[in-house]
Amino acid sequence: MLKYLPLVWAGLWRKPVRTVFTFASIAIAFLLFGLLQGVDTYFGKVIDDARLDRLLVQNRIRVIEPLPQTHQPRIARLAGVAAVTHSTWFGGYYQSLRNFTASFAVDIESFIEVYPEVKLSPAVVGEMRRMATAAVIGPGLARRYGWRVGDEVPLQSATWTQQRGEPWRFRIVGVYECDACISASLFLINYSYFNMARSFTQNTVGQFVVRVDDPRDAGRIAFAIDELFANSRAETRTQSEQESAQAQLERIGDVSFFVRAILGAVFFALLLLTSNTAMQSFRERTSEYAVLKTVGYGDVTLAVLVAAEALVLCLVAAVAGLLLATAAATLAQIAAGMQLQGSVPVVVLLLGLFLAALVAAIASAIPSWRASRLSVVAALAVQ
Amino acid sequence: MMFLAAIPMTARDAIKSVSALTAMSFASLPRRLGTAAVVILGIGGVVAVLIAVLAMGSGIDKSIAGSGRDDRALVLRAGAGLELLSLLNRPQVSSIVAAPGVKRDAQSRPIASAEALALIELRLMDDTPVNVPLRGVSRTEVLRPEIAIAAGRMFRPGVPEVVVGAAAQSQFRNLQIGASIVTREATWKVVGSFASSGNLRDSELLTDADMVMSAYQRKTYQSVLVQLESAAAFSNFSAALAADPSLQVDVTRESGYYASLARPLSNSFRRLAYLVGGIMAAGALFATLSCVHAAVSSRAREIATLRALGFGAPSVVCAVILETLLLALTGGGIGVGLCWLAFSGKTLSTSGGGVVQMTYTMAVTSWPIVIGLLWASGIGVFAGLLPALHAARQPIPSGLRAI
Repeated sequence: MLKYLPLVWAGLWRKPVRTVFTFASIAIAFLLFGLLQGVDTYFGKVIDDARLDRLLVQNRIRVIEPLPQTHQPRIARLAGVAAVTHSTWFGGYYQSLRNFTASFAVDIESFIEVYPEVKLSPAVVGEMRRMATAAVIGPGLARRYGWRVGDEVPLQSATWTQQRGEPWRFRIVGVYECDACISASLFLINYSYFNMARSFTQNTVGQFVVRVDDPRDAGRIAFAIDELFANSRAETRTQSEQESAQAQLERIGDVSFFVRAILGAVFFALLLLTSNTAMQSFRERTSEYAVLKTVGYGDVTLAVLVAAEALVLCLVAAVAGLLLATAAATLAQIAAGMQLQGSVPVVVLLLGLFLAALVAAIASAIPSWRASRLSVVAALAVQ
Repeated sequence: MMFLAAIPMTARDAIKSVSALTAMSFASLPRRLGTAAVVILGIGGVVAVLIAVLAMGSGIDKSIAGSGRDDRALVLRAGAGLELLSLLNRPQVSSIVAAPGVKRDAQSRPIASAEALALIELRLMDDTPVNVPLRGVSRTEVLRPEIAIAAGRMFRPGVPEVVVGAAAQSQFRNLQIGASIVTREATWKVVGSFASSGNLRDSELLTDADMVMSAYQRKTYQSVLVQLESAAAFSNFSAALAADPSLQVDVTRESGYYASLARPLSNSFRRLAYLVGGIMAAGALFATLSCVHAAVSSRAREIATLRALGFGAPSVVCAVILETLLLALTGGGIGVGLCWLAFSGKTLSTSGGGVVQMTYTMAVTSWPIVIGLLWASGIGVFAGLLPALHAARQPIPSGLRAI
């Protein structure tokens, strides 16, 4: 089969200008495919990565309304609960509102029990406990702002303003390590210090996070927690991390629909283009195929040759487009200071190659059928 | 090119020969249906996507930024940034409404509303729970003349009654007139619905401010909205509040507050439109180039013959560009039409990263349409130009020999 490759290659370059334009057009379609489908798959991954064994306990009435800290021991006593921690939105930003950070006041010891994927050395945990104004940051923040251990970072908070608008000052004592964790850009401060320093809603927390022993019990435990505080001053709503991630993404809008609609339009146009190109190129070369047939090429071989030309063009262009998408996604993530997530997921790349082959197969179906049915006498007579 | 100079052409001759050539090539178009389809549908897709996403951006601007007016000012606690995060106590509210610059009615009472916001949980038609603002207002008929009761009646002060916005009513369950919304604090009765010219209020529920305060046992309001004597009275009002040391507040024009809420979101839609639209346009450009190039080279002999007959190279170039442009504009027109049919007036909602669900209507207005058609023409002209020049440069004898 490989011995025909030079012939296929020569056929492609018979009209170099047209081939280059078609190639560019296909490559751009796959660039868009890589980027958009990549985003969609990434959102899906956020939902899949969200854990079923972690429950978020929030205020039933208003998500932003706090819960009393006294809920914590009562939740911890429930059977099947492995660990409970809490987090309170600090809403800090660095210098200007444009640099908003995902900053939370937490109890660091129970925090890493509930989020075991957030890795901190015992020395750093000890340091957090010793120093009231200590903070731990994620690798994403360290990269974005160049903060290092020992740096003092001033953070303004929209919610928790200090007297005379002074910023809060925190000393970074550690950068946590994480792979596949909720966020690589958290800014974690000591709840105990924050709770004493703030002027209102003391002894309340934003939400509790519960890790359960067995994810199969999660539904039952979520129900038990809500039951525990029903008819109290602060009723709760408990849902799994996964449900919560899904609901949040849904509220942004139907990303999948958007992606599917655009890619649908793009691939329809692409199919027209490649079909048109393949058909045109076949028409121009009918006599050449007739000659090939005369010198002994079989019907099937000719059909395969025509199809192979479309396939090579589509596959090479798709690879170029997907490589471009990978490069663009990587650059964008570096620019945004994000943890690299392997940019365009491998599933998307494979799907892209499959689509390229599919487009080539459909586009070359008619020309290659015609090539196999070609009558030598009639084709040569056209000239 | 020597050939060109030999035939002096008047403008009328030029137009005549270009239109004759264009008509001739359109006559042969049925033989090149595939090519035409690629150009039309490729460009149509670009224009449709571009306009759809731009319309989302304009819709957000219209519904959110359109919520504010220049002659009203919004007062929030200093540094709060968002209405929901702001707290103002009663003494603060009293000094704010008494400040100079606030318009007063015939009884010389200030036209202002201290507002208390609560979020209540409602369910979308598919049963997803979302947080919807319940806005406690006062004197809203005087302060917000744009709010018009569409059905039922206005809420009465001092009783747990609400009126619901048109967008909220169509989006959330159980908001028809007569329905009861049960929260832990109170049972709210829906007594009417209102329209507020498609702005953010339309996705809210309104009730009496003091009702919210007592039901939620609050001691603080979230914001104060005042009617200024005129749009120009803002600086006066703002300076007076800044000069009062007992008040730590931020004053913005209402229009400015909502514009700053809408801008990040609508700008990101716009960036998305130009990014995705731009990539698609590049793809469509190459696809069109490829097709036009093929079409022109397959007509090499025909073009050479025409030139031998005396049609100038510029006329040939113009005719090719004109044909591509017409195809591109047809595609653009189809894109616009599809968008308009599918999306005009379509209501979408987004959380926009905040806690509250915002509803907006896609606005397929003239501006996105003009931009879409401009892009289509740009692609058409450029994709016609290169192959046309190529054809025109071809020496006539070799063109005549082409198969």
